[in-house]
Amino acid sequence: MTANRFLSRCLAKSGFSVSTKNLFPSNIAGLPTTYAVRITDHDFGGFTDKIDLYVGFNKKTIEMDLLNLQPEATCILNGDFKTESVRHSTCQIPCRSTARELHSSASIKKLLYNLMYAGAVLKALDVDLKESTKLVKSFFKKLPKDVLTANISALEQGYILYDLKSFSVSKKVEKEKTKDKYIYEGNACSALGFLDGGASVATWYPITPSSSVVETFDKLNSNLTADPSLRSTHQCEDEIASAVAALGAGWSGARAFTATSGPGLSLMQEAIGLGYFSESPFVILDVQRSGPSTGLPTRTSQADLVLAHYSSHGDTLHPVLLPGTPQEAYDDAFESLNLADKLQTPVMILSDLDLGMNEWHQTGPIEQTKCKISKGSVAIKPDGNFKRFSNESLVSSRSIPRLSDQSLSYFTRGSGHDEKGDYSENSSVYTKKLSRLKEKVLSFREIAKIPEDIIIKKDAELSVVVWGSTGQIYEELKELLGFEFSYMRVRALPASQEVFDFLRTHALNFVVELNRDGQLSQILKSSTNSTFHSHSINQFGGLPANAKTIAKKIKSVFERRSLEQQNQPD
Amino acid sequence: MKGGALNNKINLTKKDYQGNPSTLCKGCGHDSITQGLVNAMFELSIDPKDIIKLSGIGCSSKTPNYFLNQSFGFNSLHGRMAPLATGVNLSQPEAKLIGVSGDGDTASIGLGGFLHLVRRNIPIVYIIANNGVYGLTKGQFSATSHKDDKSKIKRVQPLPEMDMLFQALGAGCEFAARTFSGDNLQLKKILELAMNHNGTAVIDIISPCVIYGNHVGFSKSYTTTQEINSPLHEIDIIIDGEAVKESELSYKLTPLDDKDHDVSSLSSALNLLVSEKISDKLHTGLIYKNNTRSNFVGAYGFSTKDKFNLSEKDLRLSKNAFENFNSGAKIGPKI
Repeated sequence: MTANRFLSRCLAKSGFSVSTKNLFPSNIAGLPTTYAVRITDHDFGGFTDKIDLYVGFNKKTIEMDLLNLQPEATCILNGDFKTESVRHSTCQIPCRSTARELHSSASIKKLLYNLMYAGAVLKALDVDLKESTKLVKSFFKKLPKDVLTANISALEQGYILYDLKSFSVSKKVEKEKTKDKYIYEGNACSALGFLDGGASVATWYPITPSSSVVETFDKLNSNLTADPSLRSTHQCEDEIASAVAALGAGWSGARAFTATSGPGLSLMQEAIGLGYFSESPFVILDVQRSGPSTGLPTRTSQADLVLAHYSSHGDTLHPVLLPGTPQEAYDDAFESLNLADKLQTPVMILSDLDLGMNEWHQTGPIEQTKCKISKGSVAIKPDGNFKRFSNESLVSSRSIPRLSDQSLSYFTRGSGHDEKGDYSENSSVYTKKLSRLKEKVLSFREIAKIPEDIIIKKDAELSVVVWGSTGQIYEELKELLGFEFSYMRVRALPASQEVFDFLRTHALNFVVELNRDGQLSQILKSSTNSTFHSHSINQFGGLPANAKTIAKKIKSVFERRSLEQQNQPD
Repeated sequence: MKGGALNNKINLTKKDYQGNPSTLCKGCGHDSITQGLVNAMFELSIDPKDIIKLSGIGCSSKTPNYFLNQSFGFNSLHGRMAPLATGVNLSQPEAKLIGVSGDGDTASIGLGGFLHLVRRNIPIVYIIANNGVYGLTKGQFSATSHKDDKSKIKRVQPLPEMDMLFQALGAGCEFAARTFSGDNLQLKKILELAMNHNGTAVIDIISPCVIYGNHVGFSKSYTTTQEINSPLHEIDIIIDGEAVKESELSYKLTPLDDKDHDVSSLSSALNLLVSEKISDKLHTGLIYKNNTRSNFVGAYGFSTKDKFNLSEKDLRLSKNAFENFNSGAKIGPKI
């Protein structure tokens, strides 16, 4: 993995537009991982099946990989495996013998193989060796001198040994202009957003792929703040405890969040319902992975939308933020804490494994928000007429346990209650409360300054609608689809009026999601605003969004539709 | 000075510690617990402003409504009082927490949460109102009912009882006491000792259910409990000073009969509890008390400030810090 990270950075530094996807199995060590590096002219993100250069350094997968590999692909193989491929142009690297010359230790020798293929790849892409060597020195500077020297030599050997097709002459791959490059993982940006947004309590339970959120939060807290002891994080005994503890912290005045994935969200349902009904603020970040049940823990999906939006039994509805880039992962985490406090309700953020754990290249750093921390309407001073759950406005003032004056005290409960918080089974009292809660959450889009990502193509009849990290396929879709289309990436639920206006002004909206049943589509259709035409395009194999397969599906629907229109009687 | 009524050291009367009238059944043990709390807090001159009341779901979880009207409280989820308390403690480390749970709430659905709260040593007076049944859902056995207990509808319990104190000691509890709602004096004193403990104070209070758990053939009826109740010691509480801090409350234990239980010995405590499984005695009083552990926030070195009061300045990242983050992600210009 380290060699791969080095390689992607080297390529980015030489000016290429790079996107990487790491496919790793649900295992600690011993099973194969695949690292896909995509270099394109126009910042294409997302996944692709088409492989131009294959590096086969895993004995367990090499034969199967070569069987499935396009015949045009060039291969860099570990020569020790003695794997031949008649169909492909192959560069065989004599790893063992090369390593023998470079270092004596058995464990070091094995690691040198990776730098050998890295060198070969760099040659294939016509990257300058001298500069790459400089990068090796800085990237691996913590290694002992003899190991570092061996690594550099390994890189050089690989470079020298590659003598096949040079991709730099291909028109497909052209170097970008000089720009500053940054690499971010979504989870780290979420952690940054929570930290900068004033989260003071984080309660969590380890689960792939969200564990790194709070772990990074802790690390950033130690490294970047003046007094790390001001913020408390705690790994609880399970997700139920994590959610209830976050609720307890939020209820008593802290800004609290928890981070989990699908299985954890299933467990947190009851706590979210209590947060909703008792109007207690806290944030839940779900970094989605393939479900259902244990599912594919190391594969991505967007299949928790319905669960998140409607969490808990009974009539509930929750604001859900849908970040699609590292910047948005930061922005939404920051904003979620404000929204939870302002609306006095649990706020959900849906990220996914691809955004959370893969490395996203961008030209330009994460920008710090200009927004401030807001705690919403809080009552501290004495007030004999205080009603914690007043129905006079959508959100009433909340008093803070122990810190507000005693005249503002109330007994919080998840059972039916009146405006003062006293127990009530009265039908009218209950109906009024539940109705207010609905309107309260629906007003979310007026409070949250989160504009949709919309690109209108004038006169385009058709549109492509996505949410979250699926946005990374937009550029490639433009090239592949062959017809004009408008584009919208929904940024949050409940959907804004803008979303419905967009949908209505297009004859057909292709709603593209990484789930089986078109969850966003379902939610939008169920709204009273739903007089629009859509067609769901679903990819749910656990891999990141693949523009080619998605384009193919869209095109076949488009062609069928065009045919139907032609055949219609005048 | 309020006319006629006695004032404590912070000039409050007993009335200031009371809550709404109870809606529990007449004769319910839990009402004695409520009374014990009121009396104990009054005597210790605890300020209701500092208290946050917590509970789960159940008959006993309704009791926080019946004491400390002026304090904030949260009647939360079945079995989840413990994680809630963890969150509140993280948010306000100096808040005094009183939690009332039941044997349904703590010994079954809440068992995991309970043990982990104890393991953390969250400072809370954790009351288990123990009657062997689920009162609010009409009389099912709880996990603390005994083998051969008969329920109101003549079902027989084939499984042995779970002992919450035994469980708590296994999780690192440094204050474990058992008492009986029928022994008001002992109950009050145990509560006073618990309120003074800087960590999780678990009190198992046998608190009979007059409707579903008070009949012949039931281990936790008033009659049975009175018969087998075997107090370990007389407790004398000496309160000094203006307000009550750990150092200002001292106590003396005078062993009763020929019992010579060492409350500071974990193995003695465990042996005592194990012996109850084969004897017909129910030992009440202070089972174990020690002071070797930090409380939760202390163990982690977290600040004791109330999180609500942290300012924008405390919480926001400086421009430098943000740039620091970004420079770590930068891979430099074209080579």
